[in-house]
Amino acid sequence: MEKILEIKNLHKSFGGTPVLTDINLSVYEKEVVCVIGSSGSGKSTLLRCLNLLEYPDSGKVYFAGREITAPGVNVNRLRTEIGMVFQSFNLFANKTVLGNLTLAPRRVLKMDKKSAAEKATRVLESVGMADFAGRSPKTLSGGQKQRVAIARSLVMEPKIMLFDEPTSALDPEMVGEVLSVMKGLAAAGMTMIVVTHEMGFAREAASRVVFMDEGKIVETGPPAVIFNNPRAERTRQFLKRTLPPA
Amino acid sequence: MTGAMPGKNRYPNISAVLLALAVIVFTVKTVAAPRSGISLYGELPLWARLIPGIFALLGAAAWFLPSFGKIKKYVKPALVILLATQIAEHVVFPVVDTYLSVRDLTRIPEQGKFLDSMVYIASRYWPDFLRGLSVTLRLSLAGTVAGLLLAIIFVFFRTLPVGERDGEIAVFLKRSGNFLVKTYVNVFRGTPMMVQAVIIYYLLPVALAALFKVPQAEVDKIFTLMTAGFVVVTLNTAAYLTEVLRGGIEAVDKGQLEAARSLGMSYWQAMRLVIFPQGIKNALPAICNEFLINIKDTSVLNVIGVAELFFVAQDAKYQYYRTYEPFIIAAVIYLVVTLSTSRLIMAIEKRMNLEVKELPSSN
Repeated sequence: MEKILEIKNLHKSFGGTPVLTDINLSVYEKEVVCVIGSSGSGKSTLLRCLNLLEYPDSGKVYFAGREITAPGVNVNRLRTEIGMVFQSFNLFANKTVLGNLTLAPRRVLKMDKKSAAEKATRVLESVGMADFAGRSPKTLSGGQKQRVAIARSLVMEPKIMLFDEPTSALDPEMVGEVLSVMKGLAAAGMTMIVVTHEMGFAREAASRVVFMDEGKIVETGPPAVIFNNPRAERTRQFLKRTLPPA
Repeated sequence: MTGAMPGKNRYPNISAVLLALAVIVFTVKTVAAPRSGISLYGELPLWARLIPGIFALLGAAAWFLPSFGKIKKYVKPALVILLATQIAEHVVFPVVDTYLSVRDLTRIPEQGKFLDSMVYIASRYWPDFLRGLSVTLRLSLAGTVAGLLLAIIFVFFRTLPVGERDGEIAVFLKRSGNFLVKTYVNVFRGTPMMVQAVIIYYLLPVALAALFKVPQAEVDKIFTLMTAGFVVVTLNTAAYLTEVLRGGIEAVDKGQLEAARSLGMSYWQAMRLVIFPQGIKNALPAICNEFLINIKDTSVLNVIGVAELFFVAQDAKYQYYRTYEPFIIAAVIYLVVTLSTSRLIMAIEKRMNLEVKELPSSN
């Protein structure tokens, strides 16, 4: 399989405090990589370094064969190929659901209004939100908002999707609808990196699980290995506290 | 609603009681000091003049009696109608009477006759007051709109973030843009508009003529009093609205910008299409308030001789040698205009919120 993303010796610190130390990771096409770890372990920052919402202090990130951390890279073009879903949805409050989906295709990809709307409607159908096209985001439930947010990224036809704790802000009842959309995406062959606390999702949908602690990758492996037979002591501790006793 | 539901409204409705009280007070006035001249109640016998007061007493009492439930809802409209006739009797008719008595006078009534003097001045000087009001409204509306447009440009520079990957030149430009706008805002918010008016009116044309090397007369032709007033109001408003807009923009959730950028929009696109619309909406009540403030504050432009409402009142003062009557007329006009404008703005704001709730079908 093709390597789509490669992170080499990545370091990042905020005001002198190291957040990420010497991160090395490769992601292959159609892989679903779940990043787990306790709060403050640098999972979200790592994700944000991949579409350059944060710039790494040192190290290199290659995406689809190009070094994106090199100077002179067109960040806006790059970001059209990397979708991102946030914990707090961040739907545009001044737009309808459909407007949220058509804004970037029209303004960034320069699609015309009609074909952008048609495409947006198709993507909305795929996440089960087509009936809500004319609604304002604030009238939606959390799960509905997150499904629209996923659709908003998908409509750009990204090569990879980054999920930053997509279900952490949701009521427990609504976690399922979002996870099932994500599972559908994975099944359709989308490459995904998912920062999550949903161990059930990681176990079921991940092709690989990355465990991070204190800004370092402690252990990487298939879910069966990480969850049932982790090598590192720190991983074992973390899982003991987060997984319900079997 | 009042009185419609049995068991509710046992307590007197406060506005009904106030209405009843007002009617009673006017009834006493009608009985004690009946008017001569044009009058509704003047020719009526004493018992007829007492009817409004008695009705008001009974009406107020009705709120305490549960069995009166059905007629309660008629009491308040009836009280309003009665009060309207009494206001006509004691406020409108006296003014009309006074107008008729001063209509054919050739000289203003003597000092002590306050109402007569006011009606005399108003009846002769109203075209000037109207012209002054028109200048006031035009200046404040045009100044607020132009100031808002200027503020939108300024606030863009004021909120430019310095990114960690910006080159030295970009950082320098952003910092100096920010500094210039901050200085502008401080200067214009930290000095009275009256002082700004004088400086701009007397200094700017001279400076412009020197700068562009054109004769002073040419500049003066363009830089009229109205232009000067417009420039002053615009620059002043822009300073206040820059800060108002900055507050509105900073109240927009940071995630909105991140989401826009993560979809590949440039900073400028994200600000223009996502952040500014929300920020301006946040600031809308304060922007409307600035318009109301401008209606009142354009009065300081009298210092350079702009013929707005206050200036006209001052003119009337010199014309009739009366110190406060013209200003009371001006105050009444200002009050009517600001109150009705604020009502209008409130109605528009309410409607805009409703529209959001009703959910537009598509953008």
